[in-house]
Amino acid sequence: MQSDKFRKAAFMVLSLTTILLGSYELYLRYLGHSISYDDSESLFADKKRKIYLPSNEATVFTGSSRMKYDLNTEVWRNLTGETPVQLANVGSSPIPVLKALAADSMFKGKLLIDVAEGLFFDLSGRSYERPQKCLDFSKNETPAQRFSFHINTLLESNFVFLDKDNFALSALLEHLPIPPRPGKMDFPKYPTEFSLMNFDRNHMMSDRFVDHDQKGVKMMQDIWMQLVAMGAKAPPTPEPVIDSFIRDVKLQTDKIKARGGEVVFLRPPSSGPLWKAEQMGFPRDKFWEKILTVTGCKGMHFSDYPELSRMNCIEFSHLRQSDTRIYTQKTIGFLSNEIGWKFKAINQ
Amino acid sequence: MVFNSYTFIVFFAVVLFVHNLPLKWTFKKVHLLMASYLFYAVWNPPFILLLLFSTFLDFYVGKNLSVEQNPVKRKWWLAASLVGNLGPLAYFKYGEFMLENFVSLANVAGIDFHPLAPDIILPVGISFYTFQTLSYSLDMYNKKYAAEKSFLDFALFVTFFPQLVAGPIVRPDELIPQFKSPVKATWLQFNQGMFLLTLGLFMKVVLADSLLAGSADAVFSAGKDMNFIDAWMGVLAFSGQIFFDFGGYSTCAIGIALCLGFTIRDNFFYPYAAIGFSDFWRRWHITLSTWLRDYLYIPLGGNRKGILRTYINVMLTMLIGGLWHGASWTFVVWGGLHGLYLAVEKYIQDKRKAHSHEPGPHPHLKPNFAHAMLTFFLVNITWVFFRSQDFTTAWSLLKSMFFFGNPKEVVLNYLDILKVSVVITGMIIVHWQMRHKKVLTVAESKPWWSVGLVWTFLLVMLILSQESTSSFIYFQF
Repeated sequence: MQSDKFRKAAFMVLSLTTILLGSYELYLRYLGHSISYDDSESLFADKKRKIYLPSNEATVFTGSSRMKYDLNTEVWRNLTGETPVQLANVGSSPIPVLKALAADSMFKGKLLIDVAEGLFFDLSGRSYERPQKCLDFSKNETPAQRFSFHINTLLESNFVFLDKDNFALSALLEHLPIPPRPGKMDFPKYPTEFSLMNFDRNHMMSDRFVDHDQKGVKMMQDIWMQLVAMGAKAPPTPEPVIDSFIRDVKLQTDKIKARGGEVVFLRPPSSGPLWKAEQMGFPRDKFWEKILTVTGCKGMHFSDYPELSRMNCIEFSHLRQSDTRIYTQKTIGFLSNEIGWKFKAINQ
Repeated sequence: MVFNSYTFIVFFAVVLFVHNLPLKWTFKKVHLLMASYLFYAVWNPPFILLLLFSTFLDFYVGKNLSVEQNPVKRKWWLAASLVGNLGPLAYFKYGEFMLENFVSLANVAGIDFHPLAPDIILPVGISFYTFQTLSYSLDMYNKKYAAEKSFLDFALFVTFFPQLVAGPIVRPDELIPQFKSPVKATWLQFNQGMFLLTLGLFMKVVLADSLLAGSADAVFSAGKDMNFIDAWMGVLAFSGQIFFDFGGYSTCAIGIALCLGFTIRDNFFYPYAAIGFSDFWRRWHITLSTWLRDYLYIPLGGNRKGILRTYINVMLTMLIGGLWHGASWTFVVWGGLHGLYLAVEKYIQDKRKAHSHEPGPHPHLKPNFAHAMLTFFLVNITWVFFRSQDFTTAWSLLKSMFFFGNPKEVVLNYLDILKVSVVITGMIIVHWQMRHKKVLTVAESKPWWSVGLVWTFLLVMLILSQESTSSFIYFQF
């Protein structure tokens, strides 16, 4: 009797769960949502393992969200014949990853670092937390966690509703219309299609977001300007501290170069009031130029290239997908022609 | 490996498949043993050696204790087991703590001593399997039963994967006899086991990780005095998180064992419906509290050596229970507070018994909801010490909880407060309603479709929460 009851209940669970989740999946696809991966520590660790491929000479990207949005890994792969390793982290400084690669005697590859000044020169340590967490996870990842990652990837590649940032229970709850609590500064939830991510760890804004979600675009603009306003309230970092920080960056880049590796800095585009605020807060000669002079590394600043200067970051900070193709092409051209980097497909 | 991972789903599916093949029982037990070692090894393979060491040591000690009649030699055998088990525990779990305290004492004495900080990795679940295997040697010393002859059965008892890393702490006479004859789950056991596994994962993944952990972490890591609402919400969130996390693990363990046809006793019984602290410890981490009772409190003399010794024994047991949880003075204070509560409760009960002329319970002591809430309130005070990194954090939170914080400092947003309020209210209602019932008994009394609906809800929420890899809090103990 009891056995029969639990068997019926189990059958009901399997049927109902399949129907409910299947319907939810179809509904999300009907709304136009597509597969997006979770920007997890496991995925970071999976990419980090690839810095030794091929022959410890991979091209690695690190930095902030601009690196994740603007350099298009698919275009890079098509043009160079090489798969780059994306180790940038949203809202983060590149320094922890730079230090980890500098300390890794096995790594002899090419490193591209984006300079989003607000994050690059953030010495509070807050922007180090996320990359450090990812690096620690990479170091301590257990075989069980790695196996789970592969199964998770298989599932994430097939189900839209497994987009943790947008459709997990906690993400859905955050979309509830609950007013902010006075005195509590909350970072607003990003619009769903602002932050899609592929398996390369490349972020992208959907065309639908860029072209049709004016409210979402405005919201993102407000978020960046709010962060700028917060940054402006903080006391400026004294110049000797900045100098000492850049000298430390040089120590790290020297270690990589001494092993035969190469390091190049990129300043991806930003637009509108955000670009103006960045110019005021971080004058080029005192920050960008100083990095290049002190470290002796080459760099590519978007404002030096008319075609890139004309690009309009719709929400002030990141490029739309069509522009990422041009930006990536330009970057590869710069690296190949002006610095002499060799790529499999180009130099064949 | 953790239960809330895809690796475990695959692992468990393979284990279930092999366990249900028409094979010899000995082969199935070897398979379960190997699976248990694999379950442990995928976390950190070298630590499997510690597990093997404990297994060999206690099997050998047990064998010798069963034949040795000389009391002095018996004591030596027991000492070998105690040193062999508690030694590694002391090194891995308390090594850094002891060194820190030694350095502090040396500095107080004016000795400038600064040793290098040791980098000791705590083997997961060491406190659990150490206590489990130690109970065998202690039982053998007390001639409770005959020594186990089969090394395979003994090794499986020590390493049985459902409860290996975070309990329930099973006694030899509960589990070893189940290995003696072929065991295979009936369909009813299998389905009930799967139901418990789903419920346990729901408690851990949805309630503890997805809805409560964020608020608890935010408040306990704020590092400043705050509004009393935030302080209380953070502490309540932790009281729910620790129950759902650990209770969830135990429920999973019981469910997994049941799917294989084995029975493991309950570890939690709606602790937040407890009326008083004796009742709380009959409901919270039952297998640890009974272990401490049987192997520490009673050997110390229990309540047989006068009233003062009873209080001392209670306090000592709870202090050691606190230290079992972690190498920090905050855990000791947590245990001490529980010891104090138990002592005060005993004092009040003894006084009331002395003044009551009527047989049976005192008329004013009939259990009611207000008593349960008073107990819950006092338990929450203890959680402040349990969760705080240090006494500064604990003191800051306690001040904030009792209106001496900074009313303008808010840590949580309205959504956090809503989540904590809904989950904790629901938890208290369920605990109170279920305080004398077992979940499977209740499920058996309901129509199949209502069980199916609840089960579907648990599973769908579990899948939607997408929190799949975080460790259980008690793994660190």
